[in-house]
Parts: sequence; structure tokens; C-alpha cells
Amino acid sequence: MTGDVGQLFETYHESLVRMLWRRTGDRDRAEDIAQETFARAVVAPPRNPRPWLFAVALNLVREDARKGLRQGRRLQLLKNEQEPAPAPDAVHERNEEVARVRAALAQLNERDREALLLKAEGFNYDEIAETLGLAKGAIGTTLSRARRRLVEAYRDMEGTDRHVAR
Amino acid sequence: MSHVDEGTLHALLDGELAPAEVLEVQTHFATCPACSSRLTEARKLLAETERLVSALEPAAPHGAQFAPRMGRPAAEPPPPPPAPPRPSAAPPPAFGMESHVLIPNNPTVTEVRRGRRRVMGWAAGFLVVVGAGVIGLQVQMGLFDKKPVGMLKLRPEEFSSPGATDARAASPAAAAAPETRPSATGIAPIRTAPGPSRDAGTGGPGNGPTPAPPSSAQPAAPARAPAPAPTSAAQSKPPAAAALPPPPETKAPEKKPLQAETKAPERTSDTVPTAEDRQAIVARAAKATEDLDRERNRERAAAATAALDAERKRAAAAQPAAAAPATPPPAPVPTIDQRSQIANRIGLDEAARQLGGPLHAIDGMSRLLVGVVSPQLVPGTDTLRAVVRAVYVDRAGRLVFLDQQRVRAGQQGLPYTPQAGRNGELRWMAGQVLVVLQSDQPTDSLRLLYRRIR
Repeated sequence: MTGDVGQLFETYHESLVRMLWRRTGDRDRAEDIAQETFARAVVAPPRNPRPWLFAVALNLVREDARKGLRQGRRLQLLKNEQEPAPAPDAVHERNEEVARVRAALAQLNERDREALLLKAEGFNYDEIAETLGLAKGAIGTTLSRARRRLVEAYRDMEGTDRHVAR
Repeated sequence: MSHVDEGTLHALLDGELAPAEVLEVQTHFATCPACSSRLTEARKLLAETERLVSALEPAAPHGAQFAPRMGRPAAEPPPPPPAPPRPSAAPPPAFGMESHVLIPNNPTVTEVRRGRRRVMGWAAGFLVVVGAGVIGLQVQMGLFDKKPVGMLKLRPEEFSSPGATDARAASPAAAAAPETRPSATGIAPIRTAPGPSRDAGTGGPGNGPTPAPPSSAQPAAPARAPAPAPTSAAQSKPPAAAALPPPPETKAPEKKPLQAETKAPERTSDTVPTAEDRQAIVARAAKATEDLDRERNRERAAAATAALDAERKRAAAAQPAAAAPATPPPAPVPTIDQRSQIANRIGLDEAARQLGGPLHAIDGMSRLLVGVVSPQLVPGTDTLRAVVRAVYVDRAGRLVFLDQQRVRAGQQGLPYTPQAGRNGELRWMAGQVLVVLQSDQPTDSLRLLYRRIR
């Protein structure tokens, strides 16, 4: 059993943390949720591990967001992010772009956002459907809507930023 | 078919459509520019989304361990998971993996024409260069053929000063003087040719201009032509010399080129050629020797060929008598290429290039070979474009041809639904490609095979 979970960890940990990092924007939080996910996998070994792990992790993210358990910590992190050390222009621009993308992602509804992030992790439609509890036939539509909304929201923010800069 | 909805477009780009759906959608794209345009937009949208999500890749040192995976195919999990086989973990159809090449992205007619013009331009330039080279070679060879030792013919104007040349041109006697001077002074001229010229030389200066016999002096004659007047030479020619049969002008030098070569310095001994002139003479002599050797080799080759032909004829005449009792050799078994009437075998890359997309295949059958066949062999195809043929063999050993041809823009009479042809073949459109399934099997069997085309 431990060996199986160890293998699961080795196989999926990196991908899971990356998805969670994109989802939450917080590395430590992503690591914590991933740990919690694997801990649950030890208790109840999944038959189909990949969708199971990601589904549990996304549930934990939602649950975490609802309870606001880490609200104080997030505020602290945001505070730290608002006063960064003087950075070169390239880093500054990159940070701005990341912030824009994150804000655009935040405008999507939960399902679209998660479908997009799972697709970015290489999930196929069957796996996305299993992870999110959707019908496979709806995944194409979900992804197309998510992509369109993300790009539109990002362009809107880009335009707003330019307008403000002027 | 109605227009393709947005979800299907994205499923196509994500490689999530079944082969039959891909065929259907591609068939629709071939006729619906609006959907093709939407497909292009969806492709841009997908690329932009991937770029944006990738931007969320952490830039912190911790992120160095996360390699970007946005371009990874949908069905490829990071490392192979040790999960038991399950439907959702099964790889999607091969079409899905190659969806990026299945999308019609054909060059426009203008681009094709421009490319053809460029190729034709290069070909024309190449032909001009080759033609000029061949013509130049022929001109050179023609000169050598007519006058093989023309390069050896002495040109006094090259060896002597202009004044001396002028003096010779002015007086035939003066032109002949170098020939006669050595004997007049009692020094025998250095000559390899016997008698007549020496006899003529011993006549002394008082004998007037005595043209040398043709056999020895012929090489110099054309070069000196302007010096002695033809009438005076004919008048002063001795009877013995006149009685000699004048050899043809081109043959005499051919037979003794080396002799002429050795004479060259002798004839110009009075004009003291410079070192450059000597080098030039040596170079010309070497070239003339090479030409002569080449000519001799050619003659030998011609003689050997003639002998060989004669030998073959003799052998052919003798063979029927000997081979009559023997049994006729068995007819050669036609190769698979001959049975498939394939002109050239090609690889999958070339086939994909010809078709503007991946080669269609029959699922569950092993392809023997892929090649190009004449469009005349495939009914209903455009005769101006090559047809790519994939050859299969069914369990009964019958050949099955899956012929594919990329259609032209505006090509008429294309079967957008599977249609049976006059010879029992099955034809249909798959995107921009006309697919023809041919076999000895009945059409119903071909329809079963059609379902396995991917």
C-alpha cells in the first residue's frame, strides 16, 4: 500500500502541485493541499488515481476557499506581493502579466476554470469528465467557452491597463 | 451537415473526435468556408489560452522543476501511470494525436502557382547552362574533328616579329627562304621526313620558291597560305612532286601529329620564339595529343562495339538450335510493385506532403507499401496530379488499394458521400483528399472496409 502511494506521489505530485499553484497562486498552499490529497489516497486508495487525485485536490481548494482557513495567511502573502523588492523591468512585466492572467482566470466560473487547468495538465476529455463529474460530451463546449472567456477577460484587462498607463 | 459547433471544433483541435467524426467534420470544412474560418479562430484561441496558462508557470526557483507541458498531447500522461487498464486511460484514436495535421491548411492557388513558377525558373536556368555547355563542347569537338591538329599548325605571325611576317607576306621568295637557307649554308636541316623537301632545299636559293611536298610541308601550308601565291607555286612545282597524289588536307597531319609537333620548333628556329611561345606550343601539343588519344580510343571503342555486335548476332543465330530442346524458362513472378502498378515507392512523409495531410489507412490491416501511381489507373481522379496508393493484402491474398489524391480548388464532381464506382470501387471525400478504395472484393465488403478507414 505504501509503495503504491509512493509511486502515485512520484508520478503525480509534480503535476498536481503545478495545477494547484495555477489554481491558487500560492505555492505553499498548493503544496499543502497536495499533501492532504496524498494523505487521503493512503486512507482510501483510488482505483483510477489520476482523476481521483485531481478531483480531491480541487475539492480541497474549494473547501479551503469557502472556509477561509488561510485567509490571514493569504492576506499576508498579498501584502508581501504588494511590496516587492525592486525588480528589473522584465521581472516586473512578467509579474504584471501573471497578475492579469490570474485575474482573468478568476473571472471564469469554477467549472470552466478547472476544466482549463486540467486540460493544461494533459488530461483528456474522459479524465476531465471523470474528475469534474461532467458528461464527456460537454467537455468540448466547456473548454471552448472557458478559452474564449479567458482570452476576452485577459484582453479587457490588457486594454484597461494600457488605458490607465496613459 | 449543419455547421460545426464550437465544442466540436475544440474537440477536433484537442484530438478528441472519433475517426468517423473527423472525416465528417473535414468533409464539411471542404465545403464550408465559414466553419474553416471558425476553425482558424478556434486554433488561435487555443494557442492564446495555452500561452496565458503557461504564463502562470511560476518564475520562482521552485518552478524550475516544473517543465511546461502545454504542448503535450492530450493522451500522454507525464510518466506512464501504473493504473490498471481502463477506458478513460486508453489512448485516444490516432487521429486525435495528429489533429494538428488533419486540419485543412492547404496553400492557396496563388502560392502553388508561385512555387511552380519558381521551380520552372530554376529548371529553365539549369537547361540554359547545360545547353550552353553542350553547344560549347560540340563546337570545340567539331573543330578538332575537322582539323585534329589544327592547333599544331604553325602560325609564323605568332613566332616572328610583325616585320618578318610582313616581309613574308610581301614576297613568296622571302617566305620560302627559311626553308632553303640551311641547305644553302651546308647545314642539313633537322627533319624527320625524308627526301623531297631536302632535295628541294638543295636546289639552292637560285631555284626560286619551291613549295615543299605535301607530305612533309602540309602542316605549315595553311598557316602560310597568304605568303606564296597559288599560281606561282603551281607553276614552279616540280613534275615529280606534282605527280605525287596529294593527300587530303586533313589526313596528312592526322597521321603524323607527333612529327608535326617535333617540327614546330625547327620551323621557327629563325624567329627565336620566346619562352612563353614555347610553353604555349607545348601546351597545344599536349592538348592535341590528348585529343588524338581520345580519337583513337573512340575508334577502338567503336571497333570493339562492332565486334561485340557481330559476336552477339553470331551467338543469337547459334542459340535457337541449342535452346530449342530445352523447356522455356518460367515466366517471372510479378513483384508486388508490378501488381500494384506503382511507379515509385514513397515514404509516409512524402505521402503526407502530396496529400497535404497524413495518409489515410485501414485500421487493423498492415500496409505493404506506399507509392505513387498514375491517375489514369484510378477512376474519377484528377489526371494532372499524382495519386498516392497504399497497398494492403486481405486474408484471401487479394490486393486492396487505398488510393488518395489531393483535390484541386474548384474541382467538380467530387463524391462527398461514399459512392460506388463503375468498377466496384468506393470513392469519397475526406477533407481535401479524394479517397478511392479498390479491390477484387465486392462493393459490400469494401463498405465494411470503409468503416475501418482512419
